[in-house]
Amino acid sequence: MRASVVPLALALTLGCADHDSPAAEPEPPLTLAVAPAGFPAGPITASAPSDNALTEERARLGRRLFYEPALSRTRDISCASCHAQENGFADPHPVSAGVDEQQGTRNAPSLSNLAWSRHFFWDGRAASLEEQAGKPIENPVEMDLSLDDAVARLSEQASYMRDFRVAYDAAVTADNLRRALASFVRTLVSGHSPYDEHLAGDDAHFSEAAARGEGLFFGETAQCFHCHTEGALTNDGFFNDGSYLDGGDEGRKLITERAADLGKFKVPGLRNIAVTAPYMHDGSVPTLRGVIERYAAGGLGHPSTDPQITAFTLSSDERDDLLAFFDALTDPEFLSDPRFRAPAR
Amino acid sequence: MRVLGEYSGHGLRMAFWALGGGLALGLVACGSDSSSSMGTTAGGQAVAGAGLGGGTAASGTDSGGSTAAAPCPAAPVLHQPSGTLVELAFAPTLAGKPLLVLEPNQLTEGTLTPSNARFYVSELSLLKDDGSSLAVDLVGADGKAEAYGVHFVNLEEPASLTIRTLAPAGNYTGATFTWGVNDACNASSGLGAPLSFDSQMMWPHIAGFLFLRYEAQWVASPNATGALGPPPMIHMGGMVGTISAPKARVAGALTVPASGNVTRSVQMSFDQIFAGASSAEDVSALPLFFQTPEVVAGERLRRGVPNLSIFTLLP
Repeated sequence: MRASVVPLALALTLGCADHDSPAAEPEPPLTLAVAPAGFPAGPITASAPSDNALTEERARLGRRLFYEPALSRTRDISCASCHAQENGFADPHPVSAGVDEQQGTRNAPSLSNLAWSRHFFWDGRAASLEEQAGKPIENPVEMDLSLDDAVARLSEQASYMRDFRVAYDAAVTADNLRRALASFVRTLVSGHSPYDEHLAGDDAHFSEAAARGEGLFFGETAQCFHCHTEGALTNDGFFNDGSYLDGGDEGRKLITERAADLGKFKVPGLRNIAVTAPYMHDGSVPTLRGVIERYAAGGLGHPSTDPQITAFTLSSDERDDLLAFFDALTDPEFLSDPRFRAPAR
Repeated sequence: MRVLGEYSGHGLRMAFWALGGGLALGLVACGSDSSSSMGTTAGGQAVAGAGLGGGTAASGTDSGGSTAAAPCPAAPVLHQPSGTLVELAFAPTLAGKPLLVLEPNQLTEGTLTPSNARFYVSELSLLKDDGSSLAVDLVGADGKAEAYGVHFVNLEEPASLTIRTLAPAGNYTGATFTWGVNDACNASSGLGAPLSFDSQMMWPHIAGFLFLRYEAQWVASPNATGALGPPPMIHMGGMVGTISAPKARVAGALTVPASGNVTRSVQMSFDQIFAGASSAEDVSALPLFFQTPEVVAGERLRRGVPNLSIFTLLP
């Protein structure tokens, strides 16, 4: 049993062929996935806010925008530049390069299973996907384009004018631009990993080593589950995981201005973690083995470290088992799903 | 039926199985303290019965009925669909002062900065003059039942500190509530807020929900006498099928008029919470898997709740 997407045949009724290729085959719907284990049960559409109901037209428009380089000042950076599907919609570089090769300070996180999240960005500065969606476009070291300019550029294209009209019954606006992007990101559901199959009772692809690693992950030695809740593999909270050192990125504190939030960052979900290297908020740890080393040491030792981060001992075999469990979180369908690729132009 | 997960090497083997549309959990303690039982709910959901040996399920604080838990409806039927709106606002205190969260609390022996403090409330009742109790409901400001009949308190969010109910006019001698999640909901998964992953209370499924989660940083003052500070972490709950959330009593008289609203503060004494969590209660019979400082502290607190004065109605 799997969290499923309906068969391709259902898409035939939706009439959402590619915008500029009238003869293209209809694609399967984006919006009919259901929540993987660990998230509130139900269809993906239930996760959308009332002022941006999730529809196929909105998600497809959002996909087009996600791959749209015209949303950057230099017309060469799109959302997908830093959120690559084959990397679980994360960035394989420690920090991302924006317009004019400017370097950011944080690693672009995976975008999977954000439909059920309440906090966005590593520091939680956005409270909704809709709020989040516009910020990278405007950020001067990312895409560096005002939303007004983005709207103007899109409005120059008849196909965008048409797609916004179909999706929102309105012209191109900044609000609807953000809503459409949020709609697409909301459809990025990853729930077909061997771990998901395992939770549903199918261990055909869940190795014995992965099962041992699961026991360590959810056990009181490594205690990973204190933040990476079973199923969802995140608790959507903010914790100082021991990666902070004096003078470093202050994380959540930059938003709340509370001293107690020093060095806290959002707990990421871990599906596809084996393909989203490098790790941590700053991409400073190149490998998952290094992540295990970091936590086994109890972090870097700063006194602001969360009290739950304490040193522990794992044998070499146990570390291998944990890595096998992490491998079992990879969802090959998600990484190659044609519905999430750039639309044909 | 197949094993989905088996946690071994901790003195406890835990196995849980997918069973048709439901879920069964089995807890088997290794070694000499082994026994388990299974019960099945009307909704097809089986929960492990009490019996991890060593008396962990028989501390006298259980809310009862852990082997035949009812389903956990998202929209529970109200016991009291009308009445006067009563608002009870938790007021956490420590050493005679309001407890600060995410801020330092200066104490004699050092500085305490809670980084996480949250808990669940369910199954609220008002106590009558004659000693009987009246089951009431946890409702929102609109008078509608809270989802799953559960209220979630996160001390970082002041609005969450207030629980509400509709009550008949009368004089009451106090209140009781289940300090945590009732058994049926504790054994459920795939639920929405406040029983969802982002509550930070959902433990591995074998362990259900935490009832109370508390974490803090403690820095002893330079001239401290060496006394230990409060426990840095308390995780109460998280052993579905083996323990139930404790019944907490709110001491103090409460008069509910026939019209208007009632708003009262309920002192929540963290001095008492720390005392309970730091008690000498013997929890050595806990499975080795659960023998971590935060879980031990939580279990000591859970068992101590009936004898602690944690919640008091303020005038």
